[in-house]
Amino acid sequence: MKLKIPFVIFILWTETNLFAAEAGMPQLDSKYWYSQSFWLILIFLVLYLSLSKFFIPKIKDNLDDREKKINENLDEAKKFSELAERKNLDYENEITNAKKEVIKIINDSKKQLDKSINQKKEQFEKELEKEIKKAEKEIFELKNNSSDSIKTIAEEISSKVIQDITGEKLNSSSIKASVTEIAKNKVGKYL
Amino acid sequence: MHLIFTIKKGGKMELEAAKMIGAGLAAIALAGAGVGIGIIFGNYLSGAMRNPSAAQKQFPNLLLGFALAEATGLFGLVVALIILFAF
Amino acid sequence: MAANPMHQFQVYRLGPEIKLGNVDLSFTNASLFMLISALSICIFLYFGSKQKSIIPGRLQLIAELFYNFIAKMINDTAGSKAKPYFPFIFTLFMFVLLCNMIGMLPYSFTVTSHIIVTLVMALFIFIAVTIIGFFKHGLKYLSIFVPKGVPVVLLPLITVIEIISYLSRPVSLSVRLFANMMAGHTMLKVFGSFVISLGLLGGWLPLSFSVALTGLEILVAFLQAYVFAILTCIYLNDALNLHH
Repeated sequence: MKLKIPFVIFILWTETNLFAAEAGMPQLDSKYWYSQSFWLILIFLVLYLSLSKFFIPKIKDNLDDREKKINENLDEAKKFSELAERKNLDYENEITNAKKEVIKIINDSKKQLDKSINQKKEQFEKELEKEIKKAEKEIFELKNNSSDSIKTIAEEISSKVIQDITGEKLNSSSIKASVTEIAKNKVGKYL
Repeated sequence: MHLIFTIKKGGKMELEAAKMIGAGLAAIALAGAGVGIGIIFGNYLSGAMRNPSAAQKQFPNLLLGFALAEATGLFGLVVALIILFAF
Repeated sequence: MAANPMHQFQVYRLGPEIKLGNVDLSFTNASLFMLISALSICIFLYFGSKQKSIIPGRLQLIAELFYNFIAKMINDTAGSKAKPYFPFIFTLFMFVLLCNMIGMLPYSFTVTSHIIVTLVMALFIFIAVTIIGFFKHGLKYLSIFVPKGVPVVLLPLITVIEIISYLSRPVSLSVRLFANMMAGHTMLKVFGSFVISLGLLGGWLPLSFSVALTGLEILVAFLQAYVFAILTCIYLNDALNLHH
């Protein structure tokens, strides 16, 4: 309550004071209209001329310069990247070429190696066959020889055994005949 | 208080009182401006909620609509001030 | 005296009285603040365009921001034909903006809160746009009053309405700016006087309100300059591109 009364008094005071002094809108007072419009036109004209002649072209130049420089730099960067790409491509090409060459070399040496191995193999096989044939021949001769010698040994032994037992000398030709007969039947099995 | 005295004085309304009443009536125009601004911002918001990607592009239009709607209310205010101070 | 919210709009003579015949052309406080805003634009743009660095400094960045902002606005609303009018619209925007903003400083004077100032600017724009329209299209420019696709019965009515709306352009353009600035400053003053009259005890509420209102007024100051410029662009667009 104590506060309220001065509050109301204050509001009334401001309300009465609000529009009391020199009532009216200064905007509608025509005393300085000409002066204001004159100065406005003058100042605006000078401002317009100075802006359009000096400041706006300057700002525009700045902006254009920046755009140009940025574009130039971008172009340069693009050029460099293209160059780098080209170099990269060359490098890759070289690598693939080298790889191809390596593969070629490997294949060639492989082929050569294979060839020489095969040649040697064939030679070796031929020699082997020769040796085998030789050995077979020898064995065959040996076989024949051995059968002959066995026959003679068998004749001798049988004649001797018969002599020892009977004490007689048998006809060597008959012994020979019987031995060959037996040999035909039996020795062929073992030789 | 001034108003009450003037009306009571001669049974006839004085110019001063009529001016006050007229100015008050003219200020009602601001209600319409308030409604208009509310509609503009509300519709902008609902549109922006539906399609947020298009909201940024329409922001200048929002400001323009706001200024145009507010101006009509301020015309009323100007009328009120002119009634109060010019005559 | 100080509590009168209209007192801040008072114009008074500074220096000697200048008279041209019967017409009073004295240098007033309004002229002083016009000069201050024009000079601050020049100083700002001078320092904004002084260094030609690739990476812009603060002022340069702001100046280029304004430049790009206006250029984009003109291009969006009036097309590429309006490019020759860029300096005018840039000057107009900067002048109105700086006048509004300098008016927000305490003890300063708001140039744009005077109807005569805004009316001169709006009338100039209106006349210039009309001349440009007639110059570009000849008498065909009158077809701006006859919108396309309207039934013949309604045509006379619509044409009258179009003519009235065309003629009311300078009025609405000027009154919008003037009323916004005047209403805002009056409101600020009223709340300021409440702070003083309520004193230490109750003055905090209107004070905080006044701070919020100052923020709103700064927004309005920018917005009205923007609207003034964009409406100029729209009018210019009507004159340059007929019925597109």
